[in-house]
Amino acid sequence: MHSVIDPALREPMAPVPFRVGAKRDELLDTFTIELAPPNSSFAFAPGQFTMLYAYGVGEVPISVSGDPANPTVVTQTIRRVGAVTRALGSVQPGDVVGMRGPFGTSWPLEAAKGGDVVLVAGGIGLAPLRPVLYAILADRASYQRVVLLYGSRSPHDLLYGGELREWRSRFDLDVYVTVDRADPGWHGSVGVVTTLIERADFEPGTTTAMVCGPEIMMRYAAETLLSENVTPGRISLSIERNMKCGIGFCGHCQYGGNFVCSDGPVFTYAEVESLLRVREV
Amino acid sequence: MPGRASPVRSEHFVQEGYLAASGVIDRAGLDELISALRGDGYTTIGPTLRDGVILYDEITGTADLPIGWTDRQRPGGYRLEERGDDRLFGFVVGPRSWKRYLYPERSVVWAGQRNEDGWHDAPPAPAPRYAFIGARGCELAAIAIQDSVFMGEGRPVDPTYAGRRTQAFIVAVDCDEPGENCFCLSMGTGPSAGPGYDLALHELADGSDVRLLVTVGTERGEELLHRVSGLASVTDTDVTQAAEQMEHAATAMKHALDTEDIHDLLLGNLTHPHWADVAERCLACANCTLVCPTCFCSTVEDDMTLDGSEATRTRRWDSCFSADFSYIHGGPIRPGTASRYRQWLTHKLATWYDQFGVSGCVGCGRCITWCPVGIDLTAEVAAIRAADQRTGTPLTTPEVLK
Amino acid sequence: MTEVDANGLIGFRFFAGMAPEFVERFADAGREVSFATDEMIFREGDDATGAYMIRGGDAALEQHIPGRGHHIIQTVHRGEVVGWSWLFPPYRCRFDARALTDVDAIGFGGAALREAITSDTGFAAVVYERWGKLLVGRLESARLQLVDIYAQRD
Repeated sequence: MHSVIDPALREPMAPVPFRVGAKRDELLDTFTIELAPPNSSFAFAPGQFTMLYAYGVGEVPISVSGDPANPTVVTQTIRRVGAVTRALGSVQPGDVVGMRGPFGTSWPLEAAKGGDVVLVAGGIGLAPLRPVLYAILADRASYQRVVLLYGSRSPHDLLYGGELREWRSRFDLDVYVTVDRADPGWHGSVGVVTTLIERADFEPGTTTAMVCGPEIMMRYAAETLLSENVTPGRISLSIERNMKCGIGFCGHCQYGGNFVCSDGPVFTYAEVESLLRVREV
Repeated sequence: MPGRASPVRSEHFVQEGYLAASGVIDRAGLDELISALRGDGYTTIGPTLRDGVILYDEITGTADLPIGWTDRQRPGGYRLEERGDDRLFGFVVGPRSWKRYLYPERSVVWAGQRNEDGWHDAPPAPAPRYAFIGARGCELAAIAIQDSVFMGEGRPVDPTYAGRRTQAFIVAVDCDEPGENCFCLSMGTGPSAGPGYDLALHELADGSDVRLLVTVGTERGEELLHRVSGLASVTDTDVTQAAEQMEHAATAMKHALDTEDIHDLLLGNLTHPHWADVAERCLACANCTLVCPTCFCSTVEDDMTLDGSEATRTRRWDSCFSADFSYIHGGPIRPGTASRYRQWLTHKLATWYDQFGVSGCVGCGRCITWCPVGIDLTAEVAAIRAADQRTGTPLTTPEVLK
Repeated sequence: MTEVDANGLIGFRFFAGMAPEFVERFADAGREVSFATDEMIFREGDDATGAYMIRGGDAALEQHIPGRGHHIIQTVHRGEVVGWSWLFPPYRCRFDARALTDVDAIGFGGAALREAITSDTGFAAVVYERWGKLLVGRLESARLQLVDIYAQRD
């Protein structure tokens, strides 16, 4: 029997098969796969994630990291950290992986229009922010100054190196890149990503900031943005928690009273300020 | 957080069903009801004696009920006792709840088969038809709560739960003798049972033969009742007696939870030293989450046949007390017992309001009874309330969680 | 080296909100300086001549580790200030600073600043406040680098 079933009637935990189109290595432990949706149409808003399924092994939540204007490809950048991500890491073009979604809230692109935009990415956090950049560049006139601040552990941990160089060469985008520790061949900035915030030029009163990376990095970046007078309600973060379902049933992703899968993963700093300060919440 | 209902005390409206009773049946009448249900294809589940407890399992008639038995419960303790009468429902709740049938411990949520065309969904198993005999007020409230989790407004529908729930036939029963750990009155879920039943029973305790007032809740409940041959009419004395029993039950409630401002109280005390105190006692054994009729956390286990032709996704109950519940790369968000207990309690009694508009607790007392070290959540809330550390400025109290 | 005008300082972040009389003090102690690419701005062990505010170009704070060569701790850029060893005895540099590109900077003489601090308590307060803030920021960044925020543990 063929699975052309109205998604509304299907078991919400049932994966939809997607064929792997292209695959490439990004970093030592990180790779990108491009997936073809079954009816060539997949829509998502930047910031949303899918539950990617390695048949028989398990699911992981992965933020969509491709171009929202292209419905024929779903791009997922994945870091190998456990059994499922390693199983996904061994797929080849032509293989099938399962997917459910997209789920969750998205980055505030609409609200950002008319003002400056500051994107602060740490490590693999650039992946969930890349769709934002694509969307902004496709509608560049709707935004004022656009700044990308990207930090990673070392030069060989910088994601999307080729695109970073392209973005840096544009005149309508300010790109700053830094590493925590340099190697002898590195001629760029050295220092933690938060140091880029003070260096960048943006108008705090009109700025929408979108921050993505390890939670500790997001906390410090948010604090620095606040001391630069960006409004708490205009700083957005992407929170990560354990997920087993992505649809608010399994209870694993709870963060205070929020289900990160449906009330997040994108939250404003104002929404989660009190939670960020409580340990082990 | 997105717009939510504000916390309200006693959200549930408890119907005094016996006031609208349409008939009286005896033990034989109840047997007729149960037979009729079984004849209609329902698996009838009810309380029965097993392994020193009263638990819910398949019953075929009133003979399977724990006639003349009651339970004596205390924090971390449960034992059975003979009543010295022939009451059918003279006890309260045991370690099992109806959630076992509506939201089973293990269920296959998806199975797929692969052939040369790719992966195809295997047809789902048909939902069993259950009839619950003897659901208490707190349990009806718990079922309503799980309805809002698995089939609620603005949420996806869980087909496993929905299939079982929409077919389930519910015969409720009033509690006229609260258990030692019961606090349904505080939570507005009892001691009378309702709403949410097809039929409700009230066992009159006038010392003689078994007599049960029956109240109709739905059309199919009414239809079933009409098939009982020995349906006698209700007298005013019957109703008065039932009312007196329930009034007495309310005053005899031995346990309580002060729900005044409980949402803000708990969420304003997340760094209270008391959490470390509970952590010294709590074993993180997850008993409370297993016996709780509203706990719904789950995990998914994925399997594949060796030849890679069939994949299965099995959902099973999980608990926020398990060590890897909150695991993300790098480690668990909640490595210690204190934060896990805090998560359970604040979810059950506080953030549940934000998520579903009601408390997650129905006051059944099971978590108190079945905790091996007898932790009583009403006492833990009281301890925090007695030393409420909320101030106007955030986090001025010292960090106590390691 | 050319003398510095106070107006040439007030546009920079480090001097934002500073009372004009104190900006004047800094200007009095300041000289325009420049460094070619790879030129050492100061070396570990040198007498600490003072502080530098970068006006153009990039510089690196680094250490030389035998067997490992230069190790960059942090880079400093336009508007940022480097050099604090002039504040406390023995007034000796503890790290290297190297121009990564051609650098145009304002150098503030340590001795002149110390003299101004001794003679003017108001100026002293401003100096300690600004360097205090600088130190806090550098320490916070260093701590985040130390913590290895991108670390993974399976």
